[in-house]
Amino acid sequence: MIRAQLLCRLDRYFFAAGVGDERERAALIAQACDTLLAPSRQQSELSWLQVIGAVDRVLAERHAIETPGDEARLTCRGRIAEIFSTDERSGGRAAESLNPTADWGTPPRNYRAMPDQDLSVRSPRLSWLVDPSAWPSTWRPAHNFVVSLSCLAVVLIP
Amino acid sequence: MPKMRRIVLLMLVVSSTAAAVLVLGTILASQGFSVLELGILALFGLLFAWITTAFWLSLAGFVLHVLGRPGHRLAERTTIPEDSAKDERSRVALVMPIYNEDPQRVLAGLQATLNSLLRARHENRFELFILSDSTDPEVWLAEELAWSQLNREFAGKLPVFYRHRPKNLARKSGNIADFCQSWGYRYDYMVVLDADSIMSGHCLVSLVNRMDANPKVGLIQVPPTPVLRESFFARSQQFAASVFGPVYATGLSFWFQDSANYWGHNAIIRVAPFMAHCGLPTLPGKEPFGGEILSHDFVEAALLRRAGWQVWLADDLSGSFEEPPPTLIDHAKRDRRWCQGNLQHLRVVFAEGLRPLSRLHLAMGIMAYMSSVFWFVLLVLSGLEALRQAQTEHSYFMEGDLFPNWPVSYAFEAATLLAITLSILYLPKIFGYLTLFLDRRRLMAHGGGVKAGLSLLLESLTSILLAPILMLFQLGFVVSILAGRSVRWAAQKRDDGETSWAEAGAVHLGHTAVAATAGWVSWHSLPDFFPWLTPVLLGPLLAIPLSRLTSRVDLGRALQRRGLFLTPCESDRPAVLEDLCRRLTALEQDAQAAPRRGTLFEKAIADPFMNALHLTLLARESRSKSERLRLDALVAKLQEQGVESLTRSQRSDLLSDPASMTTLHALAWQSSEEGPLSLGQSATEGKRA
Repeated sequence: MIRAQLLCRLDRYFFAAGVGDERERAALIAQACDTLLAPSRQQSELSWLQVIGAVDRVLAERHAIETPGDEARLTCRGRIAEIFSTDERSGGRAAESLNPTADWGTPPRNYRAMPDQDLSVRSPRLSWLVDPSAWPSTWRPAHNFVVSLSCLAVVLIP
Repeated sequence: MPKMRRIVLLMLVVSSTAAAVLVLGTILASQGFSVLELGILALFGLLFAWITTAFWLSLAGFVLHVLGRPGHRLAERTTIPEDSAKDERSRVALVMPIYNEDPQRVLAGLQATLNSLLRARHENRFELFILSDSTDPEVWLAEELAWSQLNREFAGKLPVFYRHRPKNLARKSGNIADFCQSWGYRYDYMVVLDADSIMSGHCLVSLVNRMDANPKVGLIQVPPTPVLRESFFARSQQFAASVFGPVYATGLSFWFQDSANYWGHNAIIRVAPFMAHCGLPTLPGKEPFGGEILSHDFVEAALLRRAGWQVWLADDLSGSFEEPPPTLIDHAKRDRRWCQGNLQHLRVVFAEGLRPLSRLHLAMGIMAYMSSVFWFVLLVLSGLEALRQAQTEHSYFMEGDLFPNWPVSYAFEAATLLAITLSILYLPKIFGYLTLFLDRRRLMAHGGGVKAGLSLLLESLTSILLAPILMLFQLGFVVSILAGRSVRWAAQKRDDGETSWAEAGAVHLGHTAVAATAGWVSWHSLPDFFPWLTPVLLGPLLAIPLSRLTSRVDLGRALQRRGLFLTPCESDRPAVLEDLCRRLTALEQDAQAAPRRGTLFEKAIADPFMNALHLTLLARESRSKSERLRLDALVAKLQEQGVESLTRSQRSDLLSDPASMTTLHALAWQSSEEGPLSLGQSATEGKRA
C-alpha cells in the first residue's frame, strides 16, 4: 500500500517537474524509491517533504549538480536543470550556463566597500569678503568676476 | 581651451542678460523705481539668464550641426581588438536596477538590447545584471521567470544574472552601490540602464571603444531619445526631443566638454573610480532635504569631476532610447520626484571641492523647478505693478518746475524686449527644425519640410498651453517640499494609459480655479492688463479638457497617420526598436490567448519549477526565533484560510523565507491528494512559463 501510494506520488511529481518521457520517469522513480524505501528506513507513510527531497536528490544527481554546503534548499536545483535541459531554444545549453556556485542567479560576491564621500559645506567667513586668498582656489576667478560685475552694476544701474 | 569656452559662454549669458535688464530697467525707471519694479527687474534678470543660457547652448549646437561636427572631442578607437587575449579586453556589466516595474516590458527590452548586441558581434565582454528591489511579490516572481527566460534564450552567448534585495535601501543609488560592492571587482565598466532603456549593440560597443581609448574618462552619457508612446502628449514630446534635442545636446557637449553631466541611465561608467569616489553619504537632517540623496546622478558626476575624472556627453551617438511619460499627469508625477531630488541639491551645491561647472549643473537642476516659482512671482508682481500704475495719475506739473512733465512712451523698447525674449525662447526650436534640412533622410523621417513645420507649430501651441499648467504643478511641488512634505518613490507608469475625466478633474481643478480667479480679478480691476495675461491663463483654464485630450492615444495615432509629430523612430524604426515592438506584440498576444489563472504566488508554492527557481535565487538569511514563529503562523494561516487571507507584505515575508516556501510546497502537494487545492492552482499549470 505504502509503495503503491509512493509510486503514484513520485510519478505525479516527476511529471510536474518536467520529466515527460515515461521510460525516463520510470527509471527516476525507481531510483527515488530505492532511497525512500531503503531497508534501513522505517516503513511508515512518507511525507511529501520526504518525497520531494528524494526527487530533488535524484534530479540533482542526474544533472551532476553540486550543492555546496549542506543546504537542503539547493538540491531543488535539479528541478530547474531538468526544465532548462529540455529547452529547445537554448539547444540544451541553458542547464550548462547555470552558475556552479552557491548563488545561481549571480557570480560569487566579493565585498569591496564604497566609502561615503564628504559633501560638507564650507561655512562662510567674514574674511572672504576682504581677503580673496581665503577663497578656495577654484573660486578665485569667479570671485574676481563677481566683484567686477558688482562694481559695474553700481555704476550702471543708477 | 575648454576653460576659455566656458568663459565665453558666461560672457554671452551675462552680457545678453545685462542688456535685457538694462532695457527693462530703462522702461521701469521712467518714473523712478518702486520696490515692486526692483523685484520685477531682479526676477526678469534671473529668468532671462535662464532662457538665454538655453539659447546660447542651442546656437552652438546649431552651428556645429551645420559644420557636421560633434560637440565633444573624445578620441575613438573604431573597433574592439578581437585578437587580444580575453583577459586583456575590458569587461562590461550591463546593469538594470528595477523597482516594481512591468517584468514583461523589462524582459522584452532586455531581449531586444541583448539581441542587438549579439548582432554587433561583441557580446563576449558583456554580462547582464538585473538588480531588483521590487517589493510586490507578484512582480518579484515575474522577474524571476523573466530571468529564467533570458537565461535560456542567451545561454552560452551572454551571461544573465538576477539579484533581488528584500529591502529597497537607498533606492536606486543603493541598488547600484550594492552591485558595485559585490561584483564591481569583475568589471572595468558598467552601463547603467533604466527599466525602460533600450540601447543598440552599436551604441554599447561604441561607448566601450571610447572608454578604452580615453583612460581619463570616468563616465560617458548618451542622450536618450524618448520613443514608443502613442498618446498625443507623448508624441509631441517625442517629436520635440527628436528635432530640438540633438541640437541642444550638441550645444551642451560643446560648451561643457569634459565637465558634462550624468542623467542616471544610458551611460557607461568606469567602475573603479566610481567605487572610489561616488559613495553617497546620507545628508544630515530630515527629509525632504536631508536623508538619502534622491537625484544621485548629478552628485555622482560632480564627485567624479572632483576626483579629476572626465565626464562627457556623447551627443553624436544614436541607439539610446527611453520611454516618456504618456500623459501630462504622469509627467507631473515624475516631476514631483525629480523636483524633490533636485531641491535637495541645495545642500550639495556648496559642498567643498566641487568644480564650478558641477555646481552649475546642480544649480541648473534646482533652477529647472525654481524657475516656475520665479515665473509665478514675476506674474504676480507684474499684476500688482499694473494695478499700482492704473491707480496713479500722471502729474504733468511738478512743484518748482516750469516745464510740463510729459509722459514718455517706451512702447518701442517694450515691444523690442518682448520680441527678443520670444526669439530667445523659440529660436532653439527653429534651429532644430532647420537642422532637419541638412540631412534629407532625417527630414523625410520627420514627415518632410511642410509636415515637420506643421508639427513644430502644433508642438509650440501645445507647449504654450501646457507650460503654465506645469508651472502651477511645479510651484505646488516646491511649496510642498519647502513645507517639509516628502514624496514616496513609486514606479513610473510606462504604458499608454489615458487620463479619465474624473482623474483630470481631480488633479486640475485647482489650476482651473487659480486661472479663473486671476482672470476675473484682472478683467474687473485691470481690463488693459487682461489681454496680456490670456496666454498664461488659457492653459490652466482649460487644464481639465487639455489633460484629457492630450492623453488620448487615438488622437496621437490619427496625427501619426497624417504624418504629424513623426519621428525617425516611427517612420524609419531602428532594428532594436523593431525587435522590441515585435516582442511586446507577441507577449500581448500570448497573454490574450492564455490568460493567467491564479497568482504567481500560488504558482511559486505549488509548481515544482517555479518553487525551485524561487528557492534557488533566495539569499541566505538567518531568522530569529520570534521571526520563525511569526512565519510559521503565517504558513498556518495560509493553510487554513487560503492565499487571499494574506496581505502583500505577508506574502513577501513568506517568499523571503526558504523554509516556509519548502514547507508550503510540500503542503500544497499534500492538499492536492486530500481534496480541492487550497494552497495553489494545479501544479502542472503554467509550469513552463
